[in-house]
Amino acid sequence: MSAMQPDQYNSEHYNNYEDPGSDEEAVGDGRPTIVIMGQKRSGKTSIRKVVFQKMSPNETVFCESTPRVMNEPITGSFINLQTIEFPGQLDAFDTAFNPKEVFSTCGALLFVIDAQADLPEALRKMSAAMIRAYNINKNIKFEVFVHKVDGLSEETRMATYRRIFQKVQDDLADHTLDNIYITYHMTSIYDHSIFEAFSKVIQKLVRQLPALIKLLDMFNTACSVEKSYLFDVSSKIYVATDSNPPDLSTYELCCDMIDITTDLTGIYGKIDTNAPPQDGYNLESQSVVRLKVNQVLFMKQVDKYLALIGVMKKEPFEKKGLIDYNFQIFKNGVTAVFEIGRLAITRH
Amino acid sequence: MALCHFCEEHGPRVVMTTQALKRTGIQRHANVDEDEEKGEKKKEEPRYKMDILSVNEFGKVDFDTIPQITDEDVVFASWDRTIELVDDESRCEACSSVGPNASHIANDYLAGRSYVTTQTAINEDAYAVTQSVCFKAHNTQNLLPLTLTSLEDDEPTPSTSESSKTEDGEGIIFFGKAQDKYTAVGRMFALKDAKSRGFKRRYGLLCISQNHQLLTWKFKDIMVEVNMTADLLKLSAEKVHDCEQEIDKDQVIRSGQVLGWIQGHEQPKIEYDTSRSFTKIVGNEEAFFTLHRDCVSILQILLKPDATMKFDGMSNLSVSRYVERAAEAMAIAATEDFAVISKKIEQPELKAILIHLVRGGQMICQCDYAPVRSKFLFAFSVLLPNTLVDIASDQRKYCIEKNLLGVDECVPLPTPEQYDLVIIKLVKTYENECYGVADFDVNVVRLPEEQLEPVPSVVSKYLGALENEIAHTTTSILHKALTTIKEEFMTLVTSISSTYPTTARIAALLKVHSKPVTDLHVYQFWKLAKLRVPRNGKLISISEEPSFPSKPIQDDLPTTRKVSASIPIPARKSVCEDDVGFSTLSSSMPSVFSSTNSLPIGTPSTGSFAQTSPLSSNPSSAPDSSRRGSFLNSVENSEVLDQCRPVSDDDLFATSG
Repeated sequence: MSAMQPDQYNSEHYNNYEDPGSDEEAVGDGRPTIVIMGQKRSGKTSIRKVVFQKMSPNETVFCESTPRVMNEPITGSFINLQTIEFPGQLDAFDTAFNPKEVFSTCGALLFVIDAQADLPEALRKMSAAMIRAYNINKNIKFEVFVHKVDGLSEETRMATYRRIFQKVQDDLADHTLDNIYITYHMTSIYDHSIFEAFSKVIQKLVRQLPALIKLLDMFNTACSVEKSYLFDVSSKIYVATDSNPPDLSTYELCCDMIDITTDLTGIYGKIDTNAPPQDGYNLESQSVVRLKVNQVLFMKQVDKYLALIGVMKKEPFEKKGLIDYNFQIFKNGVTAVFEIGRLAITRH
Repeated sequence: MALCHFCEEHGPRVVMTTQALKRTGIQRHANVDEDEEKGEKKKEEPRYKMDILSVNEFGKVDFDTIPQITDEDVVFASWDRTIELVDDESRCEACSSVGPNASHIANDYLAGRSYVTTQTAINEDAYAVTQSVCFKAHNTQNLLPLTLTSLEDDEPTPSTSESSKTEDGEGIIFFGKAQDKYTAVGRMFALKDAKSRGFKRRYGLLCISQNHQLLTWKFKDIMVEVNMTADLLKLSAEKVHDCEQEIDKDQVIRSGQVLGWIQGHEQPKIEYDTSRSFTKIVGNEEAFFTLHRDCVSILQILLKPDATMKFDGMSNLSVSRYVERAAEAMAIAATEDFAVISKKIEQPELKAILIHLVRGGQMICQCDYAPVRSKFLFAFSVLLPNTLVDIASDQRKYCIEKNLLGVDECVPLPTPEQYDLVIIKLVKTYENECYGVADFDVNVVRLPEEQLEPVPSVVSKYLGALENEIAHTTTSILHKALTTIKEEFMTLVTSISSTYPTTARIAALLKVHSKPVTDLHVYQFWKLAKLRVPRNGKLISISEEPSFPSKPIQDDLPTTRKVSASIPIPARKSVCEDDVGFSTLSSSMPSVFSSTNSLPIGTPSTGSFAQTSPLSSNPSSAPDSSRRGSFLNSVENSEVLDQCRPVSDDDLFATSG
């Protein structure tokens, strides 16, 4: 383990990992948009409520049918974006909705497919939507949520995935658009797969992602951390993770840790009377969970929305002073990364 | 008017449309040639003909000016029912109403308008507009609060008040652009349904017009009616929902309050039925017919010309002409009611009632339904000069100032020893809730003790007109007869009173005119009609009050009724505490005295279609503005006063009537 040097966070390093031409993007008000589409009763509203409004998955059974286009900004979170959900009964490309304006500022098109329902109609609609959206904005990132897979066996899941993948590729090839890159996610609101899938969607919209990955890698190396995530504690979506392959079980552990910490902080956390509490957290919040498998989960608040959660062995964790020092460097680096991004927007 | 809803299968759909069409003439087919018109060539039967589910008509006999081609062919304004309606949208049971080939019709001959209710609009422009409005209404994010229509002047505006937040997608919408060429106002609401997602279904009741100014001017009136309709629908749906929760436990599931115990992946099983029709949700098979009546009423309110408004293309002359015609229609309708009522009362009793009324006596109608009382009392008002009619049909306690008084059955009335009254009770004998029709029996509870002999001439003539077969051929003839009788006697009263004679001289003058001596009583009352100052909103100073002859009453004057009108009646709290929601109940429970052709009547609205008063639901608000202000004032100045005995407070309401 070594202390991280502040010099490693000079602007040269940062610039090496910056998205090429990211400062030249038309950001508008700086708030990216995620358009959610899908057939009726595919689970669009449930996904949105579970992920961003902390609704219990069981309560989503009683959600009413969405009668109109739901345009909701996500506030109180690091994820400063807005979601636009189109009801399955409506055509998102109807002129009444001004599709050009919607999709020209769209960062990601998220299409939800009910894996337990009839697929052909959904796939036909999805292909058509992707083609039209691509024609409006070629920078849109296409994400497909193969949803409600909790009720399917592993074999059925894979078969459904292959079928969807093949059909979509064929449709796009028919329109000579097979260069469109589509990411598929198997999701369910009854486990953490929906959060992980959304995390990957959000990460693609974070321009500072490469810098954050690099920071996390360096922190891991310096502190002998096995896996680290940069979480948005409000939505339990991780904004960045290190280069190691993600592990769903570790992610679930981290989510559980956030839940426990949030609950305890709500009871015992320091309340600043001058400012509204952010789920009870403040910049000094941190927590440690010691697991039976000789591992430690630690959480440290980076800013009012973000928290660093890491998994490491017990022995390296004993050097708390070093970890705190490295964390401070890491925190300064993250702040600098986002500050540069804000300055870039301001200059634009 | 349009009822729209968001179908879980098909999205926003227009379920039902009610349109107002002008009655401009008979619609002919484009291929009708002269031979067909002459009858030489056999007219081909149209391959398509829309089904007519119901026809309501108002004022046909007196105001229908458009001739019919044949007896079988019913003319519906300028709409050709052989033109097939084409609906591009797919529908399920939830999106359907009267069906693609059926309609409800209401013809308002007085206003020269027909109202047609179909599943989709009958012309292409209206079809496109209603679709667009339905789409926009369901996509509106910011709805106006429901309290918007009830704001007082000193209340904060919706944007600043705390109550500005709408309840879960319910609220008022108001939108329209000049380039769209339409404006729409409406109420979005949700009906409880145990078999739909979220246990509710979204509906909207919309009023659409090309005239933005019209909707703006009448916004509050329209929204009061629309809100009332929506609230009633919500109540009905809630009743059905609660009933289902209670009875059908296997099929439905309770709402999510008890789901706290459900853990893990145990998902509650809910049986959805996305295509459940509107009639099932509100539990009324005739819901669309009822809604048709409501929509017609709202359109009548919207299209009723207001003398204070100025619309492009409508002169003041046509407005006043309409008002006159409406007043005449109201009077004819009242005469029709009077004819029916007279058949329900025995002849001697009817005679006693008429004598009592024309002498200025008080008649009280006891009934728990205010519209019924109103109709009954208004029927008798045709017998008196307008300025002598003082109707109060919705009183919570006894009031001596009114000569035609309507009260609930529980209101205590004075004893016979105190006041000489006619008390009539209306008892319901038949009711059809679906069509809003009921029948009532007329029970005479109390009559004046004293009977005048001989019968005053005006009463004899009234009775004669009622018995006359010719007068009964049409109501308008009977109305004309009664009006003529009234005017004749009024002319006599005017001519006599202009000489300010003594009582003895009056009796002599009546004898000269071959009138019975009992006409003197009628004269004493009717002469006050000329002394009433027309109501013009201006207070009358004491010096302007007319003076009366100060001579005392002659001894030969017959004993008069015992009405101590000069003694102030202390206000008593009515024992009838149950007045909650009564106006809504009563106004939605109309009745018809006519034994034939029970007309379905409109809604809890002030402009109900088939009621006697298309302008106002309160027939007592007669169009003649020169009504006298107080029955008490008139009696105060009468020579009758000296004959009254003082009544102590203890005697008042000592026993119930």
